[in-house]
Parts: sequence; C-alpha cells; structure tokens
Amino acid sequence: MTRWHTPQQVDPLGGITARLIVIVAGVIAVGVAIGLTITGWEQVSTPWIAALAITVLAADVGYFIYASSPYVAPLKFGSHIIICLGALLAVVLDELSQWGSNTLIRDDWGPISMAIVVISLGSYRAPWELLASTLFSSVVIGGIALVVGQSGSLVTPVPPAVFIVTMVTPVLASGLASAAFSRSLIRSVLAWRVSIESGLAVAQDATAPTGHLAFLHGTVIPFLDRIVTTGELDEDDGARARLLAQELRVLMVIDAEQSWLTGVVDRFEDPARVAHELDAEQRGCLRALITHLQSSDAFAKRSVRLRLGIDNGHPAGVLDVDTLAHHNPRAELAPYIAVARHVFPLADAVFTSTGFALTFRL
Amino acid sequence: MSQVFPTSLAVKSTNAALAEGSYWFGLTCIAAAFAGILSVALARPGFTAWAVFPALAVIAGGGTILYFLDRVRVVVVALVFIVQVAGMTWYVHTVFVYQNSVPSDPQANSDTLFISLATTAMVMFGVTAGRVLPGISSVVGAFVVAESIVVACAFMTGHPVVVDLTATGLFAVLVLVLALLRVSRRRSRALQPAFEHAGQVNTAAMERERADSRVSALVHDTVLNELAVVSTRAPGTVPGAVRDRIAASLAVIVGENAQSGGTIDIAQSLGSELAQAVDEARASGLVITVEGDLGASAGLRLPVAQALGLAVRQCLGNVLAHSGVDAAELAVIAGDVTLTVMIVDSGAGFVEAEVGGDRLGIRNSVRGRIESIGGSVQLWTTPGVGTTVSLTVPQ
Repeated sequence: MTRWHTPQQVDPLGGITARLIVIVAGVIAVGVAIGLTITGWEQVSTPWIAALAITVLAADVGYFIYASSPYVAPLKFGSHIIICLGALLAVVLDELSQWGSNTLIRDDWGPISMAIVVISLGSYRAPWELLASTLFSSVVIGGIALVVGQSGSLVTPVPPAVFIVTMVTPVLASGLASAAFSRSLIRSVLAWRVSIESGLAVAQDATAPTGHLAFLHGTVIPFLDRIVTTGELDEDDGARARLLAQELRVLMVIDAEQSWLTGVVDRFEDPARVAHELDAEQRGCLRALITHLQSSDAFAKRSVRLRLGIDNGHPAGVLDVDTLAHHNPRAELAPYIAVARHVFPLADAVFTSTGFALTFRL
Repeated sequence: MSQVFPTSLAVKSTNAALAEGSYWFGLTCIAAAFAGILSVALARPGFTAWAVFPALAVIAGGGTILYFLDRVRVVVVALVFIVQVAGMTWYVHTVFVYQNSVPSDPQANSDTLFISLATTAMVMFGVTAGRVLPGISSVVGAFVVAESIVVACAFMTGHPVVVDLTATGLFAVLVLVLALLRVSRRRSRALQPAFEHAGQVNTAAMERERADSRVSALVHDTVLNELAVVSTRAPGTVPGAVRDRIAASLAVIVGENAQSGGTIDIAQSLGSELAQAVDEARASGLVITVEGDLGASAGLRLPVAQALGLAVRQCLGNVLAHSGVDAAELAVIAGDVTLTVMIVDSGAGFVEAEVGGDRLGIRNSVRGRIESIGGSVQLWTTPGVGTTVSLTVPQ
C-alpha cells in the first residue's frame, strides 16, 4: 500500500456505495445543527452568525455531495481540504454565535456535525490525509475550546481539559475511525489484486483462428505439409505458392490494420491507430460500457459510435450513442462513468436531449 | 483483469474496515474518558473514584481483543462480552457513586459526558464484534446492554436516570448507516458482474492478440520465405535441405500457435539468439561491425531473447535486401533494466510513410514483435543517408 492510494481509486464502485451515506450523513449533520440551535436558542448571542454558521455547514455538505458524484469522481485532495476547512469554519461561527452566552459546550453542534461529515470521508481519501486533517482539526477545535472555556460563560464546574475533551473527541474519534476505515479498505483491495495477479490462470480464448491465421492453418500449412511429406513439386505448385504468398500477405495486412474494437461498436474510426494504446483496464471499462449501451432499452439500437484520434497531441476518444425519448440514463450509467474517470487520466460524460457521449484522453 | 472489486469481497472488506474504524472510534472515546476523568481527579481534592481507570482498561482491553483476533469466534466474543459487561458495570457504578458524593449543579449535566463516552465505546466495539454476528444485531445488542447497565447502576446507587442523547443519537445514526450501506451497495454493485465479464473477455482477447502477433511475425519470417522458395523451384524432387527447412518452419508455426506462452525453444529451430542472428547475416555476406557485448542478451528471459534475436535478424535482412550497401554497425547497450540494440547502415534509406502497406517486415517482425514483449522500437531514416533502428527490451 502506498500513501497515494485512496479507497475510491482502488475500488471506484465503493465510492458510489458511500455516496448515499454522504448524502444522508450530510442531511443529519445539518439537521443536528438546526435542531441544537433551536433547542439552545437562549445561548445564541448573535443570531445572524448562527444562521451564517448553518449556511456554511449546508454549503460544505452540498459541496461534499457534489464532489462525491460519480460524474466528477474521484474526490480530490483539494476537495478534502475544502470540506474540512468548511466544517471548521462552521464550528468557529457556531462558537462565535454563542460568544458570551454559551453555558454548555456539550450541546454545541459544531464538533458533532463536523464529526458526521468527517467520518464520511473515509471512503474517499488516503488514510494519511485523513489522519493529518483530523489532527489539524483537533488542534484547532482544542484551541477554540480553551478560548470558550476562558470566556466565563460556561456553568459546568470542571477543569478546562474537560472542555477540550468534550469538543475534540467527536472529531478526533470520527477522524481516526475514517482513517482506519480507509486503510483497511485499501489493504483489502490491494491484497485481492496481488492474489489475482499471482494466481490468475490466464483465460485462453478458445475461439478458432480467424483472418490470416485461419488461412494459414486451413490452406498454407496443408500445402507445405504435403510438399514435406511427398518431397515432390508438381507443375502447379510454383504458381500456387506465389498465389498463397500473395493472399497470405494481403490477409496479414488486413489483420494488422484491424483493431480489437472492430465489430465491438456499431461504427468505429481510428485513423491514428490509438486503440492498441488502451491498457487492460481501459479496454475493460470501454467494453463493459459498450455492452451496456447496446443492451439497455434507453439507447437506440446500432447507434454506438467510437472515434479515436489525437487531440492536442494526446491520444483521445469519444464514445457516443443516441438516447431514446423518455429515458434518462444518468443513474444507470453512473457506475460506468465512475470507473471511466478512474481508468482514464481525463474522462467526461455529456448528456444531451438526444444522446450521451463519453469523452476521454489516454 | 477486472478493475472492479468483486461484490462478495467488497462486503467482507467493508465489514472489516467498519470493524477497524469502530475500534479506533471506541478506543478514542475510552482515551477521552480517561483523560477527562484524570483532569477532574487532579483538579478536585479528595477524588475517590480511582477505580474508573482499571474499569476503562477492561472495556478497552475487550475491544482490543476483538480487534486483534484474526478469526473471531462466537465463543470468544461471548467471553469478551461478559468481561466488558463487568468492566462497564464497574465503571458506571464508580462514576455514579462518586457523582452522588459530590454535590453538583443540577444544570451541569456535563457529568453524563463520561457515561456517554463509555456507552459509545461499547456500541463501537459492538461493530467490531459485527465481523462474527450477522447484520446490526451486535450493535443493537451492545447499545441495549450498555444502556441497561447505566439504568441498573442508576437504580442501585440512587443516581437520577438521564436520557443519554449523545449515545442514543450516535447509535441511531450508526444503525441507519449500516442499513443504508447494504441498500446502497446492492444498487451500486449491481453492475459488477458486467465489469468482471468484460475484464475476462478482454484478458482472453489481449492474450489472443499477443499470440496472434507472435505467430504473424513468425509467419513473415518463415512461411512466406518457404512459399517464395517453392515458387521459384522447378517441378520435381525437393532437395532434402529444403524439405528440412520447410519442416522446421512448420514445426515452429504449429508449435507457437499451440503454445501461445512461447515456451518452445524457437531459438534452437531458427537460430534466433542475437549472436546467431549476427552470424547468419555475416554468412549471407553482410559485413557487421559490433560494438558492445553480444553476450549481454544472455541474461534476458527466453521469450525476450527470442523476440530480440528474430527482430535483429529481420533488420539485418532488410539492410542486405534494401539498403544497397553490404555493411552495417550493430551496437549493444546494456542498461540496468533494459537492453538496447542499434542497427545502423549508411545505405539508401527510405521514407517510412511511403513504405507499402503490404511490407510487414518492420511492422510485424520488428515493431510488433518487440512491443509484444514490452519493448520499444525507434526508427530514424533519411533517403540517401541511411537508416538506424533502435530496439529496446526489458532485462
């Protein structure tokens, strides 16, 4: 396991599974903020800052939901920073809104809501990042607790360390939990990959030879075999050998020009011969998506087109298909888009009223 | 290879990850309770509840045993559960007895924080135990038991029963998340078999492609040559040497196609190692100046050595057939991880784009062959100046 691995990178479908959790956890985090603000209204000294704090938290949750979408996957390091800083800002604003009238730290929603947001990050980012952001957030929140503890408004007769424990524990516990979750998930997937790479019996294609190989085995080899067996050349053998050589060469050229994608899609263009540059994961992703486009009721039959070429010096491609009226294929294509964004350095999905297109760069 | 983690393993690995995350969550809660109570103990003279510390250690120890067990068995979980119940009871009872002995402000309900932390830790260790108990039953069980202990200890010590909103809320969220996880996983992973199938088809297709590429290169080197020989011979008896050569070519083609793994000793059949390629070209009349050690290819894996030898053979053959000169330079450069062979001639040269599509020497027998074993080919040629071909293969 390297420190650069994230759970979403090693298992793109896991990111989609976790997205529902992100949405629900986000709603709960905002709900907790609103609920505790209402129940502790007598502690709010500056209502507009309280409203701003909830707004910031809601915006932060909204951004997290957007960033975890399969259509913008993977959730990047910068997004992680934005989400953590947004939640921290909400914590600061929550405390500011109660400045001078905060009697109990325990019912402050900031650390609780932030903990709910932070724990959802475990499915998306690397463990060391989560650990670092958790420690940073804990130090900041611990500092806030100290400042609030010295404000003189708290009524609980306990040492300042208890205020720090009260405010820091939710974020620290959920941050450590998400880092451990991330580490465990990555380890499992990487162990699985090692096991299948070392133990995989390569699946052999049992289909009969085609193209020049079929011609070779069906015609050329029997011809040469006869010459070896009999040791004789008859009158026509010379001309026949020339003809066979010519046909074999033509078929070899045709086979060399063909791509593995020929016949897979309904229309295929690859003038720059980019297809052979696709690696195994990219081929697998395209093949799975093409198979789905051809079998789904949402798309017009025989309308899957793939164009490969060079775009600004980079090998690139566009896979597009016509959609049928009254169908919205966004949800059914989400896992494919997530995987495509994982296996291609650049990949974007475009939906129009008449079709869907996946553009990608190798 | 499929790039998508199988659903069956995803369920198992997610449960393991949840168990690990929950363990650290629970342990942090125990550590927080420890630190909080220690600060109270140091600040309040006459603190008497020192028993909370070993009690917390018992609860944390139980969670740690669950976490570090490679194979969690029901019997072990039951034993740990009994120990943790004892630890939790000891802890809660001690806290309540101490709180009853210290008159506190009834508004200051932060005292319940230390009970919440222990209850939360118990619930989290319940998730850790969830590796062996199905669904969310271990979480529900842990919460019910922990809360029952709190209520029982409250009655025993005369402590007021306070609803633990923090622990209850966290428990509710946890149950909701676990339930949602199952639903969400079912939806998002429904397409996993499609990815897996596509991966398998691709693996087979790519393997076939590589095998075809090897066979195509061999066909170019062997069968086309034999057909050319046959086409120029007069009818009648075929000389023994020609028959033997055709038979050897057929053996190579049939053998390679049958065993696409390339385990046949093609080098022996064709004389395809690097040194043999040079010797053969010299025997055909080409003057070759060698720089570097031809023996450097001895360390290459057999398929790589064979591919390199056959490709060099084709390049030297091209010099003889097309360059118009009878001399070439061959340089062998051994790097740490690659071996590069350069073939240079100062002959006619050519424009690569103008080479007929039916000329498969460079495309199949050189480029296709070297790329199929993970190497690369670079070609520099200028009409009237000469040609340089660079073949780089992995060591």
